[in-house]
Amino acid sequence: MELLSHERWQQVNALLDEALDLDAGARRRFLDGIGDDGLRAAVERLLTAEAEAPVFLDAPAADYAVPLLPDLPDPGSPARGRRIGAYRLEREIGRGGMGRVFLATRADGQFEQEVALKLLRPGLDTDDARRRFRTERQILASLSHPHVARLLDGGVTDEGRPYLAMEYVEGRPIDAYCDARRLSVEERLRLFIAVAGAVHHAHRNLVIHRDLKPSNIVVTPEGEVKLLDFGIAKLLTPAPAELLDDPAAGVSPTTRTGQRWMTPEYAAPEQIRGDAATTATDVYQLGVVLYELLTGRRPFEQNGGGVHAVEHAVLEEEPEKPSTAVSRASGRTGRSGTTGLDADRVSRARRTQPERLRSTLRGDLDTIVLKALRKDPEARYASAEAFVEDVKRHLAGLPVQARKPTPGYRMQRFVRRHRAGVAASALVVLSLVGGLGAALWQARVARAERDEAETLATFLEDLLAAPNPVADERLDTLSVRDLITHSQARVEAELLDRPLLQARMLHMIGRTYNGMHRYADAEQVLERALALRRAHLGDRHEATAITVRDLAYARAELADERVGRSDAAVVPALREALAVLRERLEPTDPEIALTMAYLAQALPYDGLDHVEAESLLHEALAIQQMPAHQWTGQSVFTLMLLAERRMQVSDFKGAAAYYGQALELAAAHFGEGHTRTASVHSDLAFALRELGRFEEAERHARAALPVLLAARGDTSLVVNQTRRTLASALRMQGRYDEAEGLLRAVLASAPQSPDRAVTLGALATLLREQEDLAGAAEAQREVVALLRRRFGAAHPMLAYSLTKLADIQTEQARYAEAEQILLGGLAAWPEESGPGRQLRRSLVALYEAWERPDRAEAYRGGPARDTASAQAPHRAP
Amino acid sequence: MTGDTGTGGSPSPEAITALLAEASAGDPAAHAQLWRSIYPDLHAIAHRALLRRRPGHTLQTTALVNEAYLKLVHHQQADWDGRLHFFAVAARAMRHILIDYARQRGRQKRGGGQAPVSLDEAVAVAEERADTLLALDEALTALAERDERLGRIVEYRFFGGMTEAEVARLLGVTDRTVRREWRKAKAWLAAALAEPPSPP
Repeated sequence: MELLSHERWQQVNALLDEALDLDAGARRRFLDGIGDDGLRAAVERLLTAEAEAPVFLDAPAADYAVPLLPDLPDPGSPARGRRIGAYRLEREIGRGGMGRVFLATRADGQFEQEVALKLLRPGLDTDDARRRFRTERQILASLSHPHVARLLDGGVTDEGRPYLAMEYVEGRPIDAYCDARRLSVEERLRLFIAVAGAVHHAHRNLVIHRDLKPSNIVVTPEGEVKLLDFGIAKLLTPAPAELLDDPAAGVSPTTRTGQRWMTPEYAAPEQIRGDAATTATDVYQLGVVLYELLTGRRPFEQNGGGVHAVEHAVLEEEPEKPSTAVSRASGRTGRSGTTGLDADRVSRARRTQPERLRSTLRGDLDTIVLKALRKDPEARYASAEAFVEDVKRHLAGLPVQARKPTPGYRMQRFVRRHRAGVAASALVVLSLVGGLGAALWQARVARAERDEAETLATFLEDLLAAPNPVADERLDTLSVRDLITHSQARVEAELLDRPLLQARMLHMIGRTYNGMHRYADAEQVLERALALRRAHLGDRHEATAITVRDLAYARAELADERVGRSDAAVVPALREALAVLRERLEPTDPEIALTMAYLAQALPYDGLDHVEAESLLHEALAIQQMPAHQWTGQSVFTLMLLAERRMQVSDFKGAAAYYGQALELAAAHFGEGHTRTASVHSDLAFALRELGRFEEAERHARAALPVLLAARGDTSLVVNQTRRTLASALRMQGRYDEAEGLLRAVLASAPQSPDRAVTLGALATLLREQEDLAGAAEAQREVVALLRRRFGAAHPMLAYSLTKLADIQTEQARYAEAEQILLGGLAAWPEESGPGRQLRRSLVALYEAWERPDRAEAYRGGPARDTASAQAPHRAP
Repeated sequence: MTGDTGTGGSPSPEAITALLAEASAGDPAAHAQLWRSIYPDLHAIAHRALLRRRPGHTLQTTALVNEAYLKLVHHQQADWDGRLHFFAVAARAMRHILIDYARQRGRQKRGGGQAPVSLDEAVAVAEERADTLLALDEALTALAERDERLGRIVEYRFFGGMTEAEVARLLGVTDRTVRREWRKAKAWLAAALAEPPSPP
């Protein structure tokens, strides 16, 4: 307040007298009536100040001044060598609002042990208080965790002063430790996980810390985290009952318990209000600690504004995002020489640059920290564990729970997640299954936690199974399979009394199996889920219908795997599911779209079924491409099914167009390194090759190959297919050696592969073009043998392969052999169309090469009446 | 100065009661003498009371001042005005005591050297509050220069823990006036505290 002159003050004073009693509107009018701008500003400023006056002015100054009074009367001051209980004091190592801390050793000769002995202020002057102190002490002493400094002993001195003997920890406060070692943000997060884990352990043992701050979190030189003073704050505050029962002390029930040794910068809003501390209070304080570890600042700092200003801010103001806080650090000029933090120093201490630090914090970490710092305890993480989970999820590149799943965000997460590689995927699932176990444990505790378990189930469902059915194959590693099996066992054992949650988890696990191509396991689990849902929800419930659908999907794949043909029950099951979902859900629900796509996939490739399939796919696509559903990535699947339908009718141009759309979406949703994107590349390459666009085909095949190889190994059919496509595209560009190398690699890697005939056929074609006719014939003979064994003697595929073999033999001038094969073929396929026509063409070519033009003439394409003569090839015209 | 007993020993209750009467009648010399006489005792009483306080309990300034009054003043002879005057002096004494503590804190801080282990946040609170109190004291001095009555109201209410009615009686104004003046004083102090610390 700049000093007003006496005269000025008189004017201001008089105006204030009038203005103070006016309401807001009248005040504004009153101020507007003041002609002198300077005067008006002074009055307005004072009016504002009055409204925001610190609350401490309304209580006696002595209350406010209590923390700065001397700790203890000097006469009773403990000194070196003094015995307290079984301990001898060595030296003072700290002091504060609670009392003093000494390094002490056991003095009773039992064993040598250094302890931190806290000598507390007097205050246990009632039996009740002493009893409570003992009880609390016992609870704290039972708290055993590697990251919590143990309470070893405690008692009351002769003068009635309570003391506590704690495990003595040599180390540095976590913030100083991190800065001294220049730990990166990630390293800090890992340290924080240990801290929050210890807090969670304490919570499960019904102990709340209430006073978490860096100085209470020490890191030993070995890098081990230790939490100090667990629950001590509560130990030192009178029980509410005691306050109420003690009117003589003149204490109001609203006394802010614990306020005296609580720094407002670390205090949760409820602590400032004087409300009871809960586990949510610790979650808040963990949030402050994390904020500080990340940014070097506290969310609400005392910058000359005083304690009341901080308290006000904690109660009313929103903290700055950590990423903004580190940005601001640079532009800030230390006011009156206070904290001269600058962005460079902060980022250097984190082994990074200011801009990198900002972008590291922006997004997830901002969201995670701010969720922990919410004013409303209910809005924070439900537990320290949930907090930890989100931090872990962030480290694993998974979507964090704190964030609302906006489409862009989901995409971004998927992209990041799948760049991380196989190891990260395993880690992801590890942490998820860890979280799952905890969720199940909580499910039995209380309703709030139960809801959380449900949320987690949904989350897992989304994450592991949403991009069904072409889910991330990288999940298919041994350790992950074990984890899924393990969680299945837990679900079955622990959720017996909650059939619906059990069904949900089983369903989720079944979908995960589907995504991992483990259809037998999927079938088994989904059957159980379906039985539970049918029993508890009925047949006409959407959850039942979705289970029916996913089970049908597993069975369709299983039938395909086992016998190479479709399961007749699949289409009716999917139709039933679709009918129920259409009845129960909004017509644009993505579940309906996915069911339509599954049904379309299961429908045969001919006639009306084919027409229906395409129409279902278009309908599904329309739903999936609505803005609200775009993030699911399911339209990629639908587009690929549409393209396949087009391929079946040899509309390669149409197919390539759908594949092109699918590729664009997949690249955006899953990223270039994802197997789903790679699969689209591969199929697009195939269509482009068919269209004669060989260079483009080569490019897409090459984009697909390394990803598919890494994900599926070199024996997988998809990899083989992609290599063949690439080989074909190379062959068409005249690059025979590369092409041959690819095909031989396929043959060598999986000699028993069911697609061996296809690869051999491609090799035969290649060799034939290179004039290695013997090699081509040998390959083609094996093709014929394989197809005959696989499909029997009547399959059209066999006719085509025979024709090709004969063509090669014709070129080899082995006319008789070729003629025998072709005539044998015609006997089996006498029609003019299809295989018969191919056979005839080859016969014509054979006879022309053989210089038997008369016979050639007999087999030239013509009207049906030629059939008779064709059947008698050796008859002269 | 009949009651001048110097600063060596405690004056008798009778002497203080007489001083109170003279001081409340407006004798500035009596007032100064009164101050010298009761300040040491009041300081000692306040100090003991402050140290006796229990964790989490608020301090009852008025009870404390009452205790001092009962000890120091021959209360059967002292009238109401005398008593109020005593309270006014006590309020000033409390201000001095607390600001003294704040200064000591400040010196400790500047002295530094203490290695805090886990309890140091309370020290930080103390230092912060010490700073605030010192700033408040400064602002209050400036306020009293512009408007003496406002300054006294702050002293009585904030440092002395007196009620509105007590302050009104002491100043010979209505409760309502005290209430309004208190708001103005708070406005001034709040505005001053919101300023960055700077030389006035």
